[in-house]
Amino acid sequence: MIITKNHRTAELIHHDYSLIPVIMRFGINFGFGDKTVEEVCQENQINLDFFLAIINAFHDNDYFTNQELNQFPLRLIVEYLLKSHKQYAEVKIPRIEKLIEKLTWDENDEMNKTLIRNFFSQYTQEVFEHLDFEENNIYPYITGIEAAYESGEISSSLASKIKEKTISDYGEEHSDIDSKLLDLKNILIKYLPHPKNEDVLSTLIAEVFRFESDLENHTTIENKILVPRVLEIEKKLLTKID
Amino acid sequence: MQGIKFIIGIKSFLLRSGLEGVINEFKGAELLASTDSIDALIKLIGQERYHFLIIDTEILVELHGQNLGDKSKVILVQNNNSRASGLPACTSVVYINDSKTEIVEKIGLATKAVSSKVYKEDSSALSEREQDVVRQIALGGSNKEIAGTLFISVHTVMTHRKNITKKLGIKTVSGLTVYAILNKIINIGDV
Ligand SMILES: [Fe+2]
Ligand SMILES: [Fe+2]
Repeated sequence: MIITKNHRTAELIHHDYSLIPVIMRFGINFGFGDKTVEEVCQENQINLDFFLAIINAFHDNDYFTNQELNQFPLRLIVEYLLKSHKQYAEVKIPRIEKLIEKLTWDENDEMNKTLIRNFFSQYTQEVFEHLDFEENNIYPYITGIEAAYESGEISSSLASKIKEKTISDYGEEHSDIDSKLLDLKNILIKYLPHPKNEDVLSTLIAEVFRFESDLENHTTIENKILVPRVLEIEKKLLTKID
Repeated sequence: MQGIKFIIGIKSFLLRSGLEGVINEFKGAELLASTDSIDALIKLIGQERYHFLIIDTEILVELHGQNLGDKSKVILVQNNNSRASGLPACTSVVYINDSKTEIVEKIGLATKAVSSKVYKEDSSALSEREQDVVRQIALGGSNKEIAGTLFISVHTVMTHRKNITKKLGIKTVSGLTVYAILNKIINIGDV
């Protein structure tokens, strides 16, 4: 189903509840009654077309390939990605940490918990380094280069940065943060002994799956939308510099 | 969901067709049979090699005590909160008013656990040599160091690593370390 501005917001969630975090990170609050997507976007001053493009891409991953997201300014996409980073750090990761703390076993309780806790905390450290790097280097560079392209004014520091190939390097080594999640899933599903509170473990596994798929979509936006467009802008700017 | 085989035994025509639809949408899933008859179902359970049996509470009650087969293979469809007492616990419970996404997620999760079990049964466990390599990886050895300790070539170490990852589904050093401790290949104090 393609989601349009006339759908009721509540309907989206009935249809695909994995959209909840996406809707939340746009700053839309629950309690939307029968308001349509158009209405809640208006109320919250959200760019309607951009919201629809993101929601549809998360709802149906094939939608990524139809280039819908290419019509929006990069700064709008970056602003959205920053909100996702914030939600990962403040909601999704802490939620997984809390579930890990709740797990209990009759035997080897402390050891099992320590293993999972340490594994996950190593992982989150890598994730935070990744997010910090993007927030401090990649994203500012992207908005800077877009501004330069629009105004036609290229500072010499920006010109030298373009020549450093920051973005093509970034694009090449960018998906490293998933392989540890795959390990975590297999450890939880295949190798961790059955805990006393199996409901916590099932919730934890489901939560890791959700985080992973959200992260995958996030990385797809970075790799398939941001990187190619920045490379294109860089090419155009380089001809101007030379 | 490659090669996962389902049997559906549900009385209600509407429910049954709904679940048939869900299963048919899973890529690679195979619906062996779908029936509303207890007798047909008992026959199927005895004859077919299936991974999951999707049944409703009514069928579960009728089957109870008979040849339900492996309980861990049962996915139960039931009304909200109407868990009949005295019935065996099932791998997964789908509620009648679950959304499609929820149903797909629940069945997906259940099959993930089983496909890894199937996978584990198919692939042999780690060989002794591979266990040696896992132990050395967990102790922090580089490929070169491991090769030295075990008197094998670096190339052989790399081949072992590849096979270990394929068998376990674990790639990173920290993941393999957790595996090694959980499986008593090393002690937590050694790391
Ligand atoms: Fe990011
Ligand atoms: Fe990223």
